[in-house]
Amino acid sequence: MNEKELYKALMTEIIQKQSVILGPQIAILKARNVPSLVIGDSGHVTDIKEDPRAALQSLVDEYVKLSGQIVKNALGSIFIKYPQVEGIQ
Amino acid sequence: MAKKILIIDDDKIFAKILKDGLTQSASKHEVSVAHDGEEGLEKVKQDRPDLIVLDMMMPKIGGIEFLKKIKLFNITPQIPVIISSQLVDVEKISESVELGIKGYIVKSDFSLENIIKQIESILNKEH
Amino acid sequence: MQNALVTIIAACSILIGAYSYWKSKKLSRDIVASETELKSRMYELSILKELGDKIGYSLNVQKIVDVITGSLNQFIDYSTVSYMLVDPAKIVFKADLQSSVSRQFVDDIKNRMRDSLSALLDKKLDTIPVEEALTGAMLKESNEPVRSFFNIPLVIGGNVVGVLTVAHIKPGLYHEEEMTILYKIVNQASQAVTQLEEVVKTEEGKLNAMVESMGDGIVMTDKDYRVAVVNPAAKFIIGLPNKNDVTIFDFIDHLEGKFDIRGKLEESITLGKIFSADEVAIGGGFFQILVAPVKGSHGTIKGETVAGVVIFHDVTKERQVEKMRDQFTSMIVHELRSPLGNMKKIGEIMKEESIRQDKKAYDEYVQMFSQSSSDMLDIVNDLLDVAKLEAGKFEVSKRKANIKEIIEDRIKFFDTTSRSAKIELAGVFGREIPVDVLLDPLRISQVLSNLISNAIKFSRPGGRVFVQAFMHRNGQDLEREAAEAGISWFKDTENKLPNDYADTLVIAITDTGEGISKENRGKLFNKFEQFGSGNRVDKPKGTGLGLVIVKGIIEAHGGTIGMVSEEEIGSTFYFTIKS
Repeated sequence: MNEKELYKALMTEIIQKQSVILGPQIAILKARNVPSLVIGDSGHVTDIKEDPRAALQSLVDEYVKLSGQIVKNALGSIFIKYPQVEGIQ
Repeated sequence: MAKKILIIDDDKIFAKILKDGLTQSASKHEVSVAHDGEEGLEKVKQDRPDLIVLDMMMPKIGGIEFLKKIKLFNITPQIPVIISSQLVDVEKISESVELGIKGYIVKSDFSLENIIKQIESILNKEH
Repeated sequence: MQNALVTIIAACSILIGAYSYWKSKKLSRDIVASETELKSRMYELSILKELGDKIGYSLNVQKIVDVITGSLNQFIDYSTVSYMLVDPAKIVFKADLQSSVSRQFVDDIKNRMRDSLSALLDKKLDTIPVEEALTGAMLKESNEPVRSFFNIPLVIGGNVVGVLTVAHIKPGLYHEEEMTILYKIVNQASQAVTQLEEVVKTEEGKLNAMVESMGDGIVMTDKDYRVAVVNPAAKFIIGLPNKNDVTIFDFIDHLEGKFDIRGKLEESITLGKIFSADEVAIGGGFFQILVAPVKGSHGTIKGETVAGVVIFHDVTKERQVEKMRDQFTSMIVHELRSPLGNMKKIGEIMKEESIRQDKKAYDEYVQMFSQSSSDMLDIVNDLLDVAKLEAGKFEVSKRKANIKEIIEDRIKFFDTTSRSAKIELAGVFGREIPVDVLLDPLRISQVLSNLISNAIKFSRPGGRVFVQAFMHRNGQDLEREAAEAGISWFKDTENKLPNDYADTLVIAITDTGEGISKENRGKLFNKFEQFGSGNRVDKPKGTGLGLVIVKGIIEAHGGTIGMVSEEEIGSTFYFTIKS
């Protein structure tokens, strides 16, 4: 799978998990704040317009801004599944 | 009536004063003196006095121990003992009463006359 | 040409119209935004204030969440607001219904919240029992499902403690702004609580450190007599220094009925009484025990009794000192009363005619009177000397004196006494004793008298007492010098005089008496303690102050005093004087 697809899958999983944690409406609303992401109504990331790494960082930042550092801990189990992706701040 | 009295006291001056008082009284008692408990026990065995005046504060054998020891001598009838000391020690007095003493004297408070009167009265009772 | 102008004007007016329309829309949006912002600010402030007021230092998460959800309806519209708090043992679920919803709605919320927590904690929570509480409107039959909702995680001190959820049957109700503000508020409340927890922990830590280090034993229990705080001193007092979970029963057991700790705690906690017991004997020591209630200092618990505290103060030493002092005082009184009482009786006797006629008897009584008054004077002088020593006002008058003569004079003085006790008393002198030594002759004579009379008193008939004196020169071996002087004594292995001591006169009194037992050696020069020969039960005659004064005199001369002894064989008392 090429890098872009990898990131799309990763970020989709993140949004799905945040939907469970925070609720689908707010999860998608916040994801849509990242300008380079195109997100379907079910929360799937359908396209990444610019640098995927920057987009991933922005996505995580959105959630952290909302509900604090605890969000990052919850994403730990997802990141483990994508070892190719380097650590996020 | 003249009786044999044993004074056990390490205060030599007091012992002399009391001895003189008793020997020169109307009854003209026969008085011997011991200056500590050990000597006292010896004299009890030797002389078989009719009365003992015992100082409670002495070296070697203390007053209470002496009282217990003469009980063991098993002399009948028991020799009456009057205890003496400088202070009123309530605990010691009650312990001594339980060991059968017949009276007590506070040396510095009682006059010689009173001491002799008490001794006489106890000697008379023991008849 | 006219057509072009019209077109331009038309275009302009359209533009202007569009711009105005757009501007006014923005304005009204701005107004709405600031109104919302105002509302949210007020909500935020009211929550934080309520938190501060209601909660104080009692950090109950449930209370906190109640405060947040309590005023939520001022700010946002909802069908239900609910929270779920997670505990290792159980899950607490509470939902407040603003309007009636169906049972399915509530269950849906419950499940979503549980899923949210599972996702946050990365843990399965299905097996943990859920305690449910519903307030507000009643449940009703209805098909309306959950159409809008959002969850806010509750995080305190870095740990997820629960989740708060707002839900509605209407769809698309919640806008990003509102939801974001609510998240922010909850975050801030959580942070405030976290900070409070830190403060409490720090204060608790300080308190614990203070209590741990206190010498007094401290036990604090809650209202149910469960031990909340117990410091090492308290554990030590009841004989359980290493036990970890000390309970009130440990205290009850070890106090063995001497102090009703539970009863007194109950009185303190329920009636607010402070209680103190003066001297309770516990395990070989004596303690003053204080029991008092502990009241909350602010918040909801202000003025309320929240705990009881028991303090054990060790008074063993104080009691011992008091006892010794009492014993000392009665001993002194006794010693003074003897000669006084005798003098009084002699006075009475000497009034009698019969005695006055008998010259021998009369003289005898005069002698006895004189002896008694002299004895009394000795005791009083000793007491005064000790008082001066203790006040630091003891002085000696030094002048050049012949020490050998002083010693020989004392030996002569005790000649009769030693003969009647069948004890040999002699002096042994080294060669180089100076003829004039700077000292107080009266006081040194007093020292010699005291030591010689003790030596005679504690020796058996046939024994020997030697008064030994020699010079110690700087750098020479003390023992060799003594041997050269023909002195045999008990060698001091513990407190050896250093060989580089300055030129000093050493005087010793050695006897072949009963010696001094190890336990009594420490008490020798002590004012309050006196001991006598072997197995005595009562105190011996004498004040026991002699050696205290001897020590004082020698030290006033800048010398040292010491003692060596072997039980049943004999003792040597020695002292030094600078020459």
